[in-house]
Amino acid sequence: MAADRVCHNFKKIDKENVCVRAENEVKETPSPCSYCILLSHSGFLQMKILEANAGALTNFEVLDFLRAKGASQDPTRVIAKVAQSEYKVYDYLVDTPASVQTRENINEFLTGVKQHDLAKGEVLNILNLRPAAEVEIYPIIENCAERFPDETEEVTEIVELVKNTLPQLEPKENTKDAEETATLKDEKGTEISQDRNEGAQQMETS
Amino acid sequence: MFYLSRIEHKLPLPPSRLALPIREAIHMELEKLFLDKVIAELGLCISVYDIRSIEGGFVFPGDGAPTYTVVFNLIMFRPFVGEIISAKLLSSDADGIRLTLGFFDDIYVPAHHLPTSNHFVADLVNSKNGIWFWDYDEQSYPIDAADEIKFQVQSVSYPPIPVEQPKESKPFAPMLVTGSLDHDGLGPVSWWYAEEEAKEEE
Repeated sequence: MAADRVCHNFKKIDKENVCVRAENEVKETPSPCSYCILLSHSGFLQMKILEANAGALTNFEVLDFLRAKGASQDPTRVIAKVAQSEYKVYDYLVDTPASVQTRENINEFLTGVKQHDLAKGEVLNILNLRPAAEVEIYPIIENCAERFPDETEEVTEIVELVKNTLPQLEPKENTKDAEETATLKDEKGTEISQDRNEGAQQMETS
Repeated sequence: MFYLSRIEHKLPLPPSRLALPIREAIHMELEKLFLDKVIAELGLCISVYDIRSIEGGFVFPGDGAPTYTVVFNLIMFRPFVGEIISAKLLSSDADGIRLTLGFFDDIYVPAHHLPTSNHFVADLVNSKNGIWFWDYDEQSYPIDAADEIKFQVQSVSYPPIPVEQPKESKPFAPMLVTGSLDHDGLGPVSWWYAEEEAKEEE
């Protein structure tokens, strides 16, 4: 059912909505018009996919977007305009290397990685995972042995580049401690955290 | 892993939302419609990225809401084949293991995609569950929930909505990801880090 065929010329006949064009065609018994989807239009999902892939996003970009929206590890999550499902994504991304990356880091890495002949998906994958050892690179690069004649050298170079440009994620214990202190602060008064949250939002919008 | 998808939608806006500025109202309505839902071939919708255009506002006769034509971008979670993703263990049984990302947990690694030369040890209490072990160099490495597990995406499928579902079947999953651990560098992260450290000590 094409959505652009919705008929706008309705006329009321005998308690039933019938479109004018249908009335001209069938004069005696009013029936739903074949050109319009009137009968289903309120519940029918009229969705058109214009572009399935309008660009790939790295984990960092998604995390950045969610942070700009107001997501944080603050326990007072009701205040920010972030949906529960978005928080689940945020919680996942915060535990990935993306949480410590910055735009500068990524640009530096991207310029450095140009000399190696890697596909876009592979670069994206390296950014998301931050592999810090040769063994972690092998599964990311397809047909590694065939594509790079001096395989180990090339892979070591990439690992060095990753280590030099992308920051390492702190071990988990530290983040847990930080969370705990945040909760402690919060128990003292929710007002403080509220102010903090608003301040952060203002900073991001400005 | 994440993509932007541009979509055009004819959106009826409920009158209760009309008190808000139009952009905000439509944004909220789009979030209600799409967030955390799977669109076939596009993936799981994470968030509404931006609204490109809003047109129309026609009130159809017999309908209590204006309908807008909205073009917008959604952030979709759609893994590509060959991608490596780190996940956590959700459950493991004799058929294989199931992984979770926190926001998405229909990731299955069937037994034949586990690291080769492996064995399964069933749980004593609940024989359905158990732990898979990777046998390497006369040593067994468990696949347990202790740390992150990296898997490679083998396939992504969007099963059609079943007309009739047999009772006691698994809840319907609109997007299924099949993964593999059978490659160097995949599986629990500690497998490979421990090895690196051992090498350095040598």
